[in-house]
Amino acid sequence: MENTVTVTIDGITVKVKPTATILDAAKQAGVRIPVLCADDKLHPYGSCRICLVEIEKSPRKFTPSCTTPVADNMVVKTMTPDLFEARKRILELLLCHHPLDCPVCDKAGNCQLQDLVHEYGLGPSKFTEKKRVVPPNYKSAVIDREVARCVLCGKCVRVCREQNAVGELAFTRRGKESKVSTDFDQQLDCEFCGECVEICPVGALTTKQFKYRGRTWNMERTQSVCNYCGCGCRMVYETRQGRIVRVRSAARNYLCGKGRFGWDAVHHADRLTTPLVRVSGELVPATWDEALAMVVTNLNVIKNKRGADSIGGLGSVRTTNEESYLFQKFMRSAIGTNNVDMLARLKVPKGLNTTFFSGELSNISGHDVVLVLDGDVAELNPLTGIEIVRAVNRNYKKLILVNSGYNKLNRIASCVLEYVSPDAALADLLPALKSGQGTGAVADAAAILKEATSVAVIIPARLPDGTYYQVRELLSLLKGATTYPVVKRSNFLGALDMGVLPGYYPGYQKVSPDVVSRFASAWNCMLPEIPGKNALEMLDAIKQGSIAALYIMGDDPAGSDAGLKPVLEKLEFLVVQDIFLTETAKMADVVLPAVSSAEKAGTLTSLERRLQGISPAEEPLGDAQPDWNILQTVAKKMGSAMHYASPSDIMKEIRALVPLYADLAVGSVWPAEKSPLHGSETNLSLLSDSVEKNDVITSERLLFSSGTTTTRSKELTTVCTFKVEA
Amino acid sequence: MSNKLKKAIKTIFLVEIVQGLALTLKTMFTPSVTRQYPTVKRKAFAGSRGLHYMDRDDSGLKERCIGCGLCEAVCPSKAITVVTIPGPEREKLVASYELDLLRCVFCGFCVDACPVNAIKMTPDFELACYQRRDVFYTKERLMDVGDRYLHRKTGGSK
Repeated sequence: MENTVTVTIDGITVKVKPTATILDAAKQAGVRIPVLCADDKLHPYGSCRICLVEIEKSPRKFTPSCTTPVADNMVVKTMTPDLFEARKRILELLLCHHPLDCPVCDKAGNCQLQDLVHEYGLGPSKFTEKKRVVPPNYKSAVIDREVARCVLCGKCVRVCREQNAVGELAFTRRGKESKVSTDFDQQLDCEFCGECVEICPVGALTTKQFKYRGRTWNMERTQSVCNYCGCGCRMVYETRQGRIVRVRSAARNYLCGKGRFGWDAVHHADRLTTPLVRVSGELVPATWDEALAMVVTNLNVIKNKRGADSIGGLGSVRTTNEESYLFQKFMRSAIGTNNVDMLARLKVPKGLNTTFFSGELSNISGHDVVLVLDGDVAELNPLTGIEIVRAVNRNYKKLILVNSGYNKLNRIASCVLEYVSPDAALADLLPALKSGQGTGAVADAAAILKEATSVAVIIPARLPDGTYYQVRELLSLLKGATTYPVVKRSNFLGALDMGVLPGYYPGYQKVSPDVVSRFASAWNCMLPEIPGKNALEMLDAIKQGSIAALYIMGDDPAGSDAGLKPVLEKLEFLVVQDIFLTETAKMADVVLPAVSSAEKAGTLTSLERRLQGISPAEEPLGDAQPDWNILQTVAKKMGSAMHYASPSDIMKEIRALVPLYADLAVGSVWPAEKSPLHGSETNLSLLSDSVEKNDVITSERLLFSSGTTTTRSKELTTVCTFKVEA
Repeated sequence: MSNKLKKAIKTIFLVEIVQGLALTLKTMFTPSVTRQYPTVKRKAFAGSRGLHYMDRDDSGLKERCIGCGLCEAVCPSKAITVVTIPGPEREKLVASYELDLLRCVFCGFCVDACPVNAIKMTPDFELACYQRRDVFYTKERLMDVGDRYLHRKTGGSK
């Protein structure tokens, strides 16, 4: 390796990049240096001085290791008696004003200051004067600020500005009066992502949700994946006595407000705990046997009387891959129709998984330029937003933003194209790129794009036909372009991969005689050979009366478009599987209670096409059952052979039948080239002028609201009401 | 020969029985060692560990416990469960403090761990009861135990 320097740390010699700090080199050498204000997510800052080290032949006695770059042949000692004493003194000074209220502090057990004080064995302090009295600030929603506990390390200030580009928190006042606060000590008006709470080394920032709910050492931890948007952030459920009390991001990960605080919808009183059946116009609680018998009888009657194609199925983007797979298998084998689709296809960009395969999000910061065609990306896919900010703030890359309004990306953009929509911006940008026409921001953007050798293009969540072709043209003009489509819902890609599509079997295998015969022999049944109706055609068919029964798993068409209510009323029989009594479930003949993603196992596929596993943190509520088990029981009663003991059995079958998933390890991404649709013009999205797929929006920000689940989260609702009052 | 003679004499004159009865007679005039346990109780040694009690705070109206959960953490037999909630003034309230005496091994670690000396032990070891639920001590019952033990007139369970 050329361009490295040799550093000796505590007798261990390592070669590191010349830009590395002593702290980085120590990490590489496997030597631990205690830190308080340093974090991998942030630039070095050097405010706490705990990471002092001794450098041989240095004029300074002690040097902070987090801010000092390495030099060739540097010899560093990280632990000497002098250093031990120095660190001890620093801790003693930090404790001058830090209240010793560890017994009631929620950070205790997870507190870096507490750990260090314990490690360095501090006894009674020499400083006996009274501690500073600063009142806590409980004014904000979601986040409480225990100002007195703050050690002014600046981590929250920096994470808010550097990682999130929000900059809500800052140091105010000076000297001994200085504290971390908002402008004019107002309540927080930010993204409420809770990253500041997560990164705080002491208990100065806490959440209202977790306040006094338990102690860190009592928690059981379950690794899982967030089920709100397509980013698939890894997270950890912390449970106490079988109930979730807190959600934290997995190590070196990020969570947004929805992921971190929105889980409490799981405990909402509206959760369905028992099956409901319609008896003389009213939905009344029933046993599973009664409800399933009603489902099976009615579906059988309609199937025998009017044919299998008079039954339709609407799948969900919130269920696991296993459940989506079982849903389409149930519709195809037990019912015998290809009428299986998702209404969520209305909400994704055209070209997703055909021309615009997503790159890995962590690679965004590797590109020279990030071109954001959808200003809302940071609200819809917060992790993509974070990666864009990281590209600019950490890696000093350029950002070109197309945005009609103003949001956090405007603050860091090199060049802002203020257009109402991406197509208007592209209409000006494309000629500028081709022939150098254009003025102002467009010319600047074109110049930046022309120079770039690799560009990350963020594809908007809504892409009409015209814009689609404009984007394709744009991609052909750019050098080294990688697309990153915005996918609003968590397992949209998984549901597509699992073949919740009328024209495709799992793994995008087109409905054709050989595919059908292959699946028929694997599933040991007869399968329909003509492609089914898509979601919009199904709705039309319901209007015309050719579809008489609908099986909906985890979707709420009536809630997202009130105009669909009269359509669904025409159905002879409607089954809804959901966790809440949604608008659609209220119209159903049978409602089957399912469980949330916190209570079931399975896998999800993120927008990067990454397969990730979720694990149950709680027992199912009441009589509720996982969707896969409900589907399996219904299928068995309809005479179809399905015997799965757990979701992993289903995954085994998926791996045998779907080439994309055959040897896809959990945690890895399936390569775009392997898709049968790679480069084809197939359109996996749906466009409709009449049917809408609106979200139940409760606040003005998409970041805090995405529909059925978020509206039932207590914490997220406080954010919304807070903002309305303010 | 002499041995046989000695044995015969011992057997004939019941020497050993007389020796034994002499001891019995002597003991009749020494003080009794038997304690009349249920009616007469022995004074407990300092530091003996029996039933727990919860001390009251300085106001005497509520428990001294601050809900840090260290007793729960240190308990080797997982006999203690502390549940805390935020109060109206955003203070830490001990919603429930439960002690399961069936699990307790009376090691006294909880007493040592308590940073505010809220949980303490009485020397009371007579813990037999007629119903199983009586061995589950709630916060209120633990405070009542303390009131009885310290002969406190104030307080009483809420």
